[in-house]
Amino acid sequence: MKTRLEPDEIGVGQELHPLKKIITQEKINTYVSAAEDYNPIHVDPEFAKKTPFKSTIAPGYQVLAYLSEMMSRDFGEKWITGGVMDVRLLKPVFPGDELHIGGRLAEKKKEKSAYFISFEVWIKNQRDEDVVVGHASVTY
Amino acid sequence: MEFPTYRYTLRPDIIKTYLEAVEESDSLYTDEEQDTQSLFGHPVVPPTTIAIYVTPSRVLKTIKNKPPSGLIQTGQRFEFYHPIRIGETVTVKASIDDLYQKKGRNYVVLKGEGVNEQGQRAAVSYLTFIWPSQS
Repeated sequence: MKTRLEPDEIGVGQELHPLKKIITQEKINTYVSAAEDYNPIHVDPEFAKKTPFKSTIAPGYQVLAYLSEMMSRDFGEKWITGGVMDVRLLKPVFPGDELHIGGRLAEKKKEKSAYFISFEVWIKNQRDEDVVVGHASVTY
Repeated sequence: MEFPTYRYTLRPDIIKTYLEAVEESDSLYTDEEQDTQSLFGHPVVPPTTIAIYVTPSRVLKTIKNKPPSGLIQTGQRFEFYHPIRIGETVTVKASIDDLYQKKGRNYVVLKGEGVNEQGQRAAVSYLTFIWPSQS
């Protein structure tokens, strides 16, 4: 069984091991195929040229899955049975973008027998711009 | 406003494509070996697959005045409660949780909840998006 993080192993201010992802149109197309959500802004370059973005963009949900990957990597089953993610999507993600996914422990407390740990989380692009910001927490 | 309840099966081929798209390979979602599998005892779907079974296009297909193409997602809240086994059929309840205007734009908060085959609330999604202007 994969080793996950335990509350005693992490302190406030500590950062999670970051992830790096490169977005491609192929990955976007694959995601849209799985979701069966054919919004042309994601898959139709001709349509997308006429939008303010001038390009296709990745589905927000596809990008948010990377934050979930980071949390499930470190908290495993606890993320699936007690995780909360609350984020704002600030900038579009384009094919070719390089994303850096990270998190920092902001709060940790124990009430009775339950732990609550909350992280500031972010996704930045290759220009160090915030693409997604918010919080992810686990209660267990 | 509540939408009609619908059901959606998280078929193995859909999950496989989803995992490929988001480059996820955690053993929670892929491990079929009994000696290494998770506390759940079997592979489960990534909790964010609620983004597959609760999408505006699935939920809003039941209404007359569909939004034009080009919904822009500006916010998202996920709450995860119970696992869903790969291949399970979830029952989806959806509603409009909030409507508001900001800087001349119309925002919609779409709430969707997936219930697994054990009758447990598996996950809840609150999607905030801008309702596209008619052009």
